[in-house]
Amino acid sequence: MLTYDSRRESAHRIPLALLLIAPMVAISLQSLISVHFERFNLINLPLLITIYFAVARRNPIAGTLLGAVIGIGQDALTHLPIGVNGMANALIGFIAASLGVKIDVENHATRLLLNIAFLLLHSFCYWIITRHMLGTNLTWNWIHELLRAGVNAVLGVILFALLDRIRTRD
Amino acid sequence: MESFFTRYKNGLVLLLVLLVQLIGLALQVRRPMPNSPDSKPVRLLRYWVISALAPPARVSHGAGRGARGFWSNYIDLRNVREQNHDLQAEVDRLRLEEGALAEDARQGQRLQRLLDFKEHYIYRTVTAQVIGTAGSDRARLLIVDKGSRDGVALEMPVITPDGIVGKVREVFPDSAQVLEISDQASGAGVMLETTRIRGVLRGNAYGEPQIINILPDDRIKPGERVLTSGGDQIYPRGLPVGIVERVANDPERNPYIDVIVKPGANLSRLEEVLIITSTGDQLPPGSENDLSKSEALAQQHSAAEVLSEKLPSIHDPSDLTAPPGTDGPAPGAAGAGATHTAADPAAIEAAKKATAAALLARSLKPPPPLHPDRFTTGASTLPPAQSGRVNPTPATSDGIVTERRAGTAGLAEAPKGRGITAARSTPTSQRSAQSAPRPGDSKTATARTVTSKTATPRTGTPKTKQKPAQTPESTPPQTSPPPSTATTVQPAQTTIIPTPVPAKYVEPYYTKPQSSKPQPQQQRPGGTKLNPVTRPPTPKATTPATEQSPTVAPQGGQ
Repeated sequence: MLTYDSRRESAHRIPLALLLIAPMVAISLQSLISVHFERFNLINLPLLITIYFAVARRNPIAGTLLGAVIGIGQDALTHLPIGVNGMANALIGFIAASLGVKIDVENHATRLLLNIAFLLLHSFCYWIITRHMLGTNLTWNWIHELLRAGVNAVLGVILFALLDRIRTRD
Repeated sequence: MESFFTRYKNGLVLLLVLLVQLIGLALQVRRPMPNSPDSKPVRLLRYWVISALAPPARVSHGAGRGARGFWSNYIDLRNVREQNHDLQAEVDRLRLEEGALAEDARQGQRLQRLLDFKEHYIYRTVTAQVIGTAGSDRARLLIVDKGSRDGVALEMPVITPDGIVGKVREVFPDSAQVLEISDQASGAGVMLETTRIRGVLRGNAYGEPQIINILPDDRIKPGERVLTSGGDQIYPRGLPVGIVERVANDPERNPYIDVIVKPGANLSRLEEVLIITSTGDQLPPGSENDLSKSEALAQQHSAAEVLSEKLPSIHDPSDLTAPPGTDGPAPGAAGAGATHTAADPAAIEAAKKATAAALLARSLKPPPPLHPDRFTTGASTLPPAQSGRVNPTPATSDGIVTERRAGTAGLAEAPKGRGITAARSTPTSQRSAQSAPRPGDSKTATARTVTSKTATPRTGTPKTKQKPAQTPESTPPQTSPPPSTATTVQPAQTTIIPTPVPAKYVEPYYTKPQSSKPQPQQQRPGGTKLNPVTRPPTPKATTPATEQSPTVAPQGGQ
């Protein structure tokens, strides 16, 4: 296991183009695919992108800002107030970047467990904000949330491997 | 101090980001009305994101649509002609149905005008393509490719032919957001079709539309249709919403129930929707034209039906010059030749105008037989034994065929059923001569049977309790014209041409002893016992063989 400083120094350099295009593509695909496949609503591609870039860059500030921007982009497509997903994603980005410095995130099993934990944390943050801050009638369903977290975690492992190859090629 | 910010800069940045968004959240929530439009900065932010998303979405949607259109417009065109023919036939049928309901619709409009009730009809719609969604199962929202430039505005209802979809929540120049009825923030005034119970429809946490704030009612059953009530001033009244899927108790409000509705529109796979951009208190011109066409067609159809009832011998109302003998006269009508001449000219004129509708009326009649015989309605060719002697008329319901001789025009206008009475006024000798069996008449035995059955009460007291008005025997003898008047007014010399009565109706009559005295039985060659008393020497023209006849004791030997 590497030390904190060595992990920080070995942070991956991500091309700016990929950093700009990937979130937009994720938000667009999330919106477009859901038109034809309703079950795709279970997937949260923008959140997976947030986790990946936050872990890869290992910079909590960058992860926070990236998560906030992607979350606001998601909120803009809904009728919910701007900031619900922004706050949740910013928190996830911060934690993911902080963890990326301390633990090995290249392992698939680690990625799977991290994704499950981040998805559950995101759902909890979302539920707290919408139910207790906005006063909506959102219910918490453990089965649904675990299913969502599991599906997204599996997809996240595949997506992260794909993005690793793109990043290496660049 | 500097070391503090340097040391905790990550956490401070996070707090700052969260705080800014939290303040923004509070400002957005603090609106004058819950469903009021977003503030300008928020709306601008949404517009940027959707504007960035819309072009690739349009390209993607257009590519997919083009591929499907190429297949459906150029390759998958088989059986289009047959399908077009079937659809045209269905349009005609629906027009007739619409015309039948048009009078009620007009009456409803008149009553609404009297009550000063403003019915809102869908006047204009805009077809929009769904190019995106919110991308989350927590927000049921669609993005369509029509915006303010196409006349779309806030709060406009969005529908499909199967049911309502939602309402426009946000409008941009080239796109708009549609809030589905399955979202928790939605609301629509609905009512149940049968029970007329009204309520508010909105989505639950699982994305299912449900009617809330309803007291328990046993009449609410799954499968009942749900319609818009028009009370929300957004959706026009009477639009389909869906059907009741189940009823569940409201966990938060105990006495109330939630009626879960299965939406009629497939909200999970919407590609095209209709945005109602304008409503009015009158029907749109296109619908008005359709209604007028349907009314005219239904009127023609009705005229053709009236004509077919008056002139059942006419198959084609447009061809009124057809020879009278092509079809037989109406059953029971006394004058066959007078049928066409007695037709109402107005009805004939109406029938000429209703050529197309007459085809439908014609289809209700049985087709002409390929090989007509003497029993065929309107047969012009008869067996040699009957040709030149009688003019067959259709069989009546009781199996009797009346026959008129030439020169009986004096009774041509006799009402239906009077022919028997007139025949009974004929002198007995004449009747005997007329009804004598002729060679070649294969149904003579049956004729005798009928005659004996019906002639019996004349000579004796009926043993069954029959109403006098129902039996020809109730006619007083003095009402019969004397034989001398037969020279001036020729009575209808009607005889009975028997129809082939099935054996099951004949045999019981012979086998069942009707008299109190036991009669000697005669064994038929076929093994059936016959009552010889029931076989008179000469058949008489008598009443039809009715169902009551076997109960009358046969009395022979007049």
